[in-house]
Amino acid sequence: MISLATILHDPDSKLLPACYASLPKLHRLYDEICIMATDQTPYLGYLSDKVTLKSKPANGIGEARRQCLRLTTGDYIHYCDFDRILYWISKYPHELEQAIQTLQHYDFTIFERTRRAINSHPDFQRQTEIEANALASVRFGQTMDFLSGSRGISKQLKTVLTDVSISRGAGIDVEWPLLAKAGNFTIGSMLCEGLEYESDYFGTRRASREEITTRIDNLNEVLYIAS
Amino acid sequence: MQNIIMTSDKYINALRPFMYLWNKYFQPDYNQENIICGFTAPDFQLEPSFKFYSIGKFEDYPITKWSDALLQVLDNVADDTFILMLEDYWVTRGVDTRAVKVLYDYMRQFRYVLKMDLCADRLYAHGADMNYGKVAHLDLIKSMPGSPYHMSLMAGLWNRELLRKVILPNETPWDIEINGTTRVSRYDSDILVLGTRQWPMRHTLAFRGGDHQKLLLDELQPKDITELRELGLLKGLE
Repeated sequence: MISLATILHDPDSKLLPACYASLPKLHRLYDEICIMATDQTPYLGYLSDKVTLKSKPANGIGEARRQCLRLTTGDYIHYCDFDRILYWISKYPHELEQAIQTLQHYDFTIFERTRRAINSHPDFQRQTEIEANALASVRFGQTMDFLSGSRGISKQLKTVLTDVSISRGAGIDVEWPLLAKAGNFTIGSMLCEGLEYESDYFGTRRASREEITTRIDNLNEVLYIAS
Repeated sequence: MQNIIMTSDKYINALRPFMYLWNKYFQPDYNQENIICGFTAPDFQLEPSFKFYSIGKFEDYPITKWSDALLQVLDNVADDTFILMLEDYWVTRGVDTRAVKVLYDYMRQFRYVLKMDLCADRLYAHGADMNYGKVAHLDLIKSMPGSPYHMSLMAGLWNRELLRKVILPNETPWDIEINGTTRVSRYDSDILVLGTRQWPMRHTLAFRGGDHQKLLLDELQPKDITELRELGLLKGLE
């Protein structure tokens, strides 16, 4: 049984049209869909009878990711940020099927972005993420793209991650792989095109000042966890 | 250093011996990124140092579109300089990892080098200039434009941008080697194919001739064949 676990914060309902179009497709790929949403998302009523849903005030992506993992019951879980999974199923459905096939062979699967997919992101995001990935790769012992926002997780590892993980923000992108490695869980990796930049597609790109603040915060979080 | 291993659904089981022998014989003290580029994801676990990339649906890439698959890998995945392998290039002896690094650095410096042969393919090609130069402990040889299989796909380091120039869509691997030789030769001395006398990597072609039902083990060491059999890595291949 395969679960999709995802987090959603969409106060302006910009993802709603894609939700309408893609939820049926996602239901064909996954046995269950579990969403941890912020209570600022207006269309929770629409989602409530289609997915396993929980909502809370926004409290950082670290806690939200742990919460959505706790909602799942599958043997394997595909964690993916909600905007990314909507984009992936729309643009690269075959690759997403391969990703789901792949994650069933490992306790932890890191879905990385291809060189082209990383380069599709805005300069500032790319620059800060390259820095974060470089440092985290040294700590992890293998060159990886840790900040792609998508993971495969076995039921056994889920218990460890939900119990032990403490990251509040983007540091969780590095914390989970480090915890999986420390616990000697099997780790796999797949390079993906479907994780290319999605925010322009949905019209959710942040204003530049907010974007810079967010990316620097993310970098600092990753540096803190990796060090 | 990035190592790209091309495979397809028909040959995907050849990856198990490939990974085993690669890890056994190619253990450098520098970082490696091993990327398997295929179509359908393997239904088995890859070794920890290997990643998978799906080019697309297998049925969309018949053998006559092998070059299209390679072009996608070049455009989306490949680094500026990388090692290109096929899944049946099973390494048979310890790799001279220092030589590979020296040649990688050489390729990064001299951007007119399309390919640096890592095996003996160019060493035994007719008409090679056997005294092209030296780098570290290696004697460089130069493949002459127009020589047979000047554009061979045997194991080597490649310059992505130059390779992109000489690969055309709708070609099989054999087309690339034959038609590609003509295309590369037209550049004469502007694009070079080099090799060494030292043969830093030795590998076999486990499915020579493109027959995925005819496994050839004669160039492997007997102890490796025994290990592969005992580990069940040749299951379904013999």
